[in-house]
Amino acid sequence: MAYISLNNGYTYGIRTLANRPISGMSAGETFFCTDNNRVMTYDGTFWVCDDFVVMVNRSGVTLNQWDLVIVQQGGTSTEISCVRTTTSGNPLVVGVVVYQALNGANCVIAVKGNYRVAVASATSLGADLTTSATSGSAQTNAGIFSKGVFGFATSSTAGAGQVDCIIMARKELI
Amino acid sequence: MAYRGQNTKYGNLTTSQIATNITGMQVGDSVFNTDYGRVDFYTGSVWTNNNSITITAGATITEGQICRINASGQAILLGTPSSNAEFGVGICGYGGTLGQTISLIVCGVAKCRVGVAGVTLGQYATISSTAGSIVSTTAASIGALGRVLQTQTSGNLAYVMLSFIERA
Repeated sequence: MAYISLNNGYTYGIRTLANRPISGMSAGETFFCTDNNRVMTYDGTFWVCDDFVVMVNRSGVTLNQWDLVIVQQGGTSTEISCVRTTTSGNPLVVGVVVYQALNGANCVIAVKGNYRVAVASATSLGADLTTSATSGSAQTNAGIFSKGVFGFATSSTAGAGQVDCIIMARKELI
Repeated sequence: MAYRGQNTKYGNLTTSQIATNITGMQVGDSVFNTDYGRVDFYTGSVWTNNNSITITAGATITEGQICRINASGQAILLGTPSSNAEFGVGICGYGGTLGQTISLIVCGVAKCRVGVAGVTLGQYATISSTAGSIVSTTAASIGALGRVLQTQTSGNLAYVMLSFIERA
């Protein structure tokens, strides 16, 4: 067992999300993630932080890292689940998938903070982002700033791909 | 098992003390911020926490100022109420100058810079005519960013419970 007095006070020291420990962990162990600047804690199943929620993947397919998901309506009374959407500007947007998740499995979703997101088309720096007609991908919000916007791009791409983004905590509706 | 007598490397300090008194910090170092009752972490370039995001500054930005994202993907001061008021993203926790990394508080409680009119406990905080500063109003409108938790006069910092308003 690694001691908390080692590695800058974290069980596994300083790491990126991609280099997170994948075996031998115990619940409660930690590392400092330089991708999102968060202390990541192992909960026995996932590496989690304050930015994450866990929902069941009911999309019918495997959700990939940085897919954009919405909360599923009409789920059961005992589970909260997520799916992808092909509706532009969907106000049910929740956040982005942090770890690939099989259909029917628990899916970790980032709902705030510095992360990445799949985009359906060219995206400029600073663009306000919302859901698109491409399942699991974001697009630049068209028209007025409105519900369904979940964050802003902090990098750009010339076509479909991924961008860095700020995910906003959800807003009060007016 | 090794035990620690203190939960953070630098102990208990205010935001101002953290920003000015600590030197030699390394990635992952921690300090308990007594302004907010939370643990702040050093990223290698700025102090941040679980309620904040980090971003490059597009101008000089100081603690408590309201920011938006510009077309370069950088943080700048949110302008007047009639200009993109709904684009407010967060409140500067730890500031910096053009090109430096700063942290913006995007949820929870934040200390906000008060504009010329002062703010009143319980009212809605919204952006003022002074870029980056707040005033308080009795009704919510687009551009409101939360509820004022502390009556405060112009030029000071007031605690605000953040709840950015979304346009339906």
